[in-house]
Amino acid sequence: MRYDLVIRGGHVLDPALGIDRITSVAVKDNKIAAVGDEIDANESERVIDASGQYVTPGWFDMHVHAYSHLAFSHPDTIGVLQGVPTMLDAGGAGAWTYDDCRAYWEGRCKTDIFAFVMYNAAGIYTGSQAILDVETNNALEVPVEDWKDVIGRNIDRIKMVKSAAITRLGFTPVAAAQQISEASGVPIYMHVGDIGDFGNQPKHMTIITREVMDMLRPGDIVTHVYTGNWGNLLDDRGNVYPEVVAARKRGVLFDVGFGGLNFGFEAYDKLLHQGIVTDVISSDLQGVNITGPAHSLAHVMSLFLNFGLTLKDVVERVTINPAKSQGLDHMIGSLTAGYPARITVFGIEEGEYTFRDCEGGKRTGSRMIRPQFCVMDGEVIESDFEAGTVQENWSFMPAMEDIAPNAGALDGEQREFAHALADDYKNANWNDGRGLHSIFKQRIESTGIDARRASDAVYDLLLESRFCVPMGWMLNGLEKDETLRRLTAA
Amino acid sequence: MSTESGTQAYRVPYPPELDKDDLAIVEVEGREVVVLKVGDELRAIDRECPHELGDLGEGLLFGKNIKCPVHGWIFDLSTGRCLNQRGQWAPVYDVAVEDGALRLHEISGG
Repeated sequence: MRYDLVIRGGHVLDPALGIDRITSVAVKDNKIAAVGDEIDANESERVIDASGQYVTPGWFDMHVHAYSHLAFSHPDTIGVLQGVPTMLDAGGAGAWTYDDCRAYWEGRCKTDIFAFVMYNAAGIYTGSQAILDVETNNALEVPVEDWKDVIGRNIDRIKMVKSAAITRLGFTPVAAAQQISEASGVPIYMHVGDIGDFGNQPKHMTIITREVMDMLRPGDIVTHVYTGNWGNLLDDRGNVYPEVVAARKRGVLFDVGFGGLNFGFEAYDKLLHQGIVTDVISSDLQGVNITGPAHSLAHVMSLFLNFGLTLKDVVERVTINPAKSQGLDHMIGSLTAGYPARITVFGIEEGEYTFRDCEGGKRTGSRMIRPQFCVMDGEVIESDFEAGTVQENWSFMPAMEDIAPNAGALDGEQREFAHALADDYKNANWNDGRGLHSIFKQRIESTGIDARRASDAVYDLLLESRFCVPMGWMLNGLEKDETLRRLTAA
Repeated sequence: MSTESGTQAYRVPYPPELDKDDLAIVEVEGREVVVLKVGDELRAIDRECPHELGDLGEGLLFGKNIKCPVHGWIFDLSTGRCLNQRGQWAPVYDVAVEDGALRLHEISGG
């Protein structure tokens, strides 16, 4: 047959190619074969009728959390199962952990995951401050050679270095990211807006947002643009800072990064009114916001569809715009013939829907975008929004019972590995995450076990459900004695 | 607010929003405390997460636990113990309704 799949009858909306009408899309050998009325469905192995639906290039969620404690037991639950073939982990890993995160998920996830690496070499770290001080947050001592090495080897995946303009952290994260960026050549992805201070001004501290905006270069990206928190892009009279306008003019890109803390309707209205429309819409999905207010990329897109943007505006911001911003528009972001076949098919339901911001505000809208399925490099994957909201999926949790739920699934090689690891850890400094991580990797090397099977063994023995958290930094958040007991009892 | 000396118990006026939202913020000796309906029971926890001052008033309630919206630390509302970070605790309170007011009895964890 000429085609493997034809999607016909749907409203094809591809802002990059200027297509906005009912027509067909054909796939052959996992690539886009053609878009147009001349496609004959009789020449296809499989035909899907998408009447009443929209057919767009596969969505690209440019800010999610797929690695670390903040993430999910399985990233596909916020990716292909939510109509998102491509996504980008924003800062879950750093110089010392990226290789492990990549190796753990590559080939196991259907969703294609790119990455921004965190300025902190361990990645986003959620442990106690006491350990953090010992551990990784001394960002003034940036391990530049480690960064050059990891980014150089993974330049096909690592797109930017993530930093943060947060008042109480001062310029340290910014300076670290600048060093990493200069050494490795990747641009900076900058979080703005305070978190963890109830959105109020930290006492006796001056915001750094304006100065940071002046430091950013064309191609750098600002995320959480519509945050209402202290340190956002508005002055105390609600006017956009001139530095923000200047950054925009010189080619700094803007992103939504909705999250659970980073979008306020009041700030959105003011910024929109003053012409600040982001280039990209992203969800910032993580374990704390998949049950609301973010829910999914589709939900965040729906908010913008109801309150300010057209459907074309919205689709552009989850397809070609993020693809271009990451230099990926040669393979994703449009339905160009020859590109990998990544397609999202969705309906728009009419009704009464509540949209919440991250500050207690809510609005009622009349339209909701509902993905039906996506095509991921040729494979049709039905949407399943329930999968993401299961507690085990969004809650990183040490095992509660004496024997962890998945402990029984280990085979002999994995049990032997766990026993040996327990011996290795007996005299280890439990506050030294990097040290614990090295011991884990050395044990893998000396036993020859597959690294992923080794990780799974430890996760299954210690957690309620598997989470891809770099091993050393996971372990130092758990009780040492209890950890050794569980490994030994394997 | 009145303090019952020697018992680490506090009385605060009953917040009307508790009936509407199943959640209210009350002030106890200069600290903000989140009072929540957990099933048929009332529980309370200091609003500031001891990790990085995340707002537990915006936390995700599941079972008898609450998850901080900033970095996902999960606290058992019965004991105050952090379930996913060793050695960490948050002040939690037994809560009773007495004579139209709330009586909060602090449980000292850790």
